[in-house]
Formats: sequence, C-alpha cells, structure tokens
Amino acid sequence: MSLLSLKAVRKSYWRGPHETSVLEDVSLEVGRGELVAVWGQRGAGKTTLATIAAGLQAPDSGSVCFEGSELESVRRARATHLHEGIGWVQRMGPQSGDFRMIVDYVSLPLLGAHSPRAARRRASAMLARLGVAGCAGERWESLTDGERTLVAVAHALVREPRLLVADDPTANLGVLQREQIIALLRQAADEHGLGILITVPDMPEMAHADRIGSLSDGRLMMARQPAAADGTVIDFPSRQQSV
Amino acid sequence: MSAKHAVLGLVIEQPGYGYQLARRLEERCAAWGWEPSGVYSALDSLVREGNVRSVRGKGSGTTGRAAPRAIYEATEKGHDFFREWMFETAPPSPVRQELDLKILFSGPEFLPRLIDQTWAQEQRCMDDLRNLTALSQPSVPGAPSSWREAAVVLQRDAEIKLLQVRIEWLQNARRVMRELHNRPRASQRGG
Repeated sequence: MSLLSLKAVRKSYWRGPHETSVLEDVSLEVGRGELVAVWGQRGAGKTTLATIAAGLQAPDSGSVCFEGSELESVRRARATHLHEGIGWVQRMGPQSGDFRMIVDYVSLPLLGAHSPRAARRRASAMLARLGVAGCAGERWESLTDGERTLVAVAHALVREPRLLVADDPTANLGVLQREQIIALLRQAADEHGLGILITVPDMPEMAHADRIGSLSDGRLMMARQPAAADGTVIDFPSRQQSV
Repeated sequence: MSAKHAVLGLVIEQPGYGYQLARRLEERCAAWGWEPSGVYSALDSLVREGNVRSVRGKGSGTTGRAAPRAIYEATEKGHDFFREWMFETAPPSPVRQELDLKILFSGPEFLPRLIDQTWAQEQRCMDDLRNLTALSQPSVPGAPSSWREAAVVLQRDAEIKLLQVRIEWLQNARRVMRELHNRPRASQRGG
C-alpha cells in the first residue's frame, strides 16, 4: 500500500468569470522510503499539487489518500493542524513574532503532546541532526537562506511524520547548498523510511529522487523506470527501503 | 567528442590498467555514453602520440604468476597536452533536432500530429533524465566539500539542464501549436 496516493485529481481556480484549470486528472503515488520529485515551469501547478498532497487544500474532484484513508483537508493557514503523519516544509518561517529563538519555533508542533521542556529537547536534537544546532538560539531574521531551509525542514520533521511534503525546498540556494539539502532528504528517506514529495522549479534538484515527474498543461508525466537492454527494470538495492 | 581527453585526465589522476580505466570512466562520465572499447582505442591513440606510455604491472592472481598487465601512465608530453586542452576555449555544441525541422516545414494540417510528437519527445526526455538521476550516486549528507565532488555535480547539472531546456521548449511549442490549432481556420491564413 502506498503512503500517499492521489487519483484523478482535478483542480481549477476562478479568476473573474474565467475558470483556469490547473490540475487535470493527476495521479501520483509516494511509497515509504521513497523520494518523489515533480518539476514544472512557473505557473504549472506545483504549489497546488503540493498543498493538495499535504492536505492543505481539497481537490475539486478525485481522491487523496494517506495510509489508505481519505485525507481530510485543513486550510493552509492552519498548517499546525496537519494530519499527524504529514510534515509540511514551510519556508516562510514563523508567522508570528512570538518566537524569540529558533528552538522555540521548531518545538512548536510538539506542544500539547509534550511538555515545553521535552519539546525543546526534541527540537534541539532535530536541529543537531540536520547540522544546524548552532541556530537554536538565533532569530529567523538572522539566518542565511540555507539555514532557513534546514530549520524549516527541522520544523516539519520534529513530529516524526511518515510523509514529508515540500514545495520548492531549495529556492534561492546555491548549487552546493542545494546538494546538501537534497542529500539530507535522501538520507531521511533511506534511513528513516520517510516518504517525501518535493516540487522543484529546476531539474537538477531531482538528481537523487527515486521517481521524477513533469507537470504541464495540468498533466503529470512520470518518467518510466530505467530499463536494461533486455527490457527488465534495473533494481537499485541502495534505494530500496524495507517497509 | 572522443574519450581521449577524459582518458588522459584519468591517467594523470592515477595510472591504471585498461580495465580499471574503463570502469573509472564509466563512473565519472556515465552520461557521455562512451563504450569500454572506446577507452582502449583512446589509449592506443594516446600511446601512439607519446602522451601516455605503458609499463608492466605485477602479475595478477594470488601467486602473481599470471601474465603481467600493462599499466598506463602519462608522459611529460601528455601532461603538457592535457594542460593545453584545459586552457583552450571550448565552443558550445549546437543542438539540432529533427522535430524542429518538421515544425519549420509543417502546414497547419500537421499540428495535431506534431503536438503528439511533443508529448512523445517530452516522455523520452523525462526517461533520459531518469537514467541520469538513477546513475547519480547518493551523496554523503553535507555540501560537496572537494573540487572533485563539486565537479561531478556540475557535470551532472549540465546534462540535466540540457534536457530541462528541451522539455521547456517542447511544452511552450505545444502550447503555441494548440492555441493555433484551436483558432478558426480563417485567422490562420496569411501567417
């Protein structure tokens, strides 16, 4: 069973009297330990796809299932009410000035389920795991773009979700920082069995993905898996994750 | 482009047997699609030109009694030749596709078929891209720290970007073709 399954998803927006179709009959699956990357040009519908996949927006028709159950969508403004098994990488950072320190922001999704002290301890551990322990006492405004991305990933991962959805996680990053982020996501998929869906505006960001797709004209075209000369599919043992 | 400069670069980095060099070339330059046999013809040519020489290695096997194999190493002339190549300005290669020519000479009646062909070619580009990404080694977490690692990333990016540009063009061309195909016939005359 797939972790995430989108079937025949359609979505359109009204701009004045005109209806603009963004997604037409899009189907997509993400398995455990699988990194799936979807590329599209500006305006192709990447953000719409990502928010629908994370349950932050409902499709007009079609189904979105997470671990076999229909996903109930929450409004995007209430991303803290996401399904407990889904992490959403929010690169805009804290939406309120209440967070003096990054560690408080990263621990936010844990409050309620954990004491403030335990939440901070887990948040610090997650920041350390992503190599940005030094940012714990900093403010969002003082971070570099690369650090902001890693903090946003830490904020999404701290609840230990089974699925991570990120819309353009490497925006504004240089080539080497981009490699660092994608390699970290790859490691999270391989070592923790995390299913990951990312959307990207630049194809080199798909370099370590298990499956890749291109979104245009409302259609999602997935690349076929590499086939050997005799037509059999090549198995990549390093990319296999036990379920 | 032949594999000659790449093979010379490998030999300068570290001398090796022909088979080892073929394996290393495959790891480093998978996207170039050079056949292992191309490595041997490149080595022959480099030896003939005096850029590489072969020396006798130890015999293989546990006893070391098997026939010694040739180890290839760069000569001083080879180092100079490689340095000259590094300093040369490399012209970009023009990319021309048969589909572009079909579009240039097609009439409006062919638009539906050409639109289909843009989908087919995009699928092919995506499959090629998938082959490239599948060959890419999962990095050790952390930004590439050495020039060697960064160079591999840049080379892979160059290959991927070529496909991205082609796919973007196919999508844009398809949009224009659809728009014109859906217009009333009369408005297409005189264009």
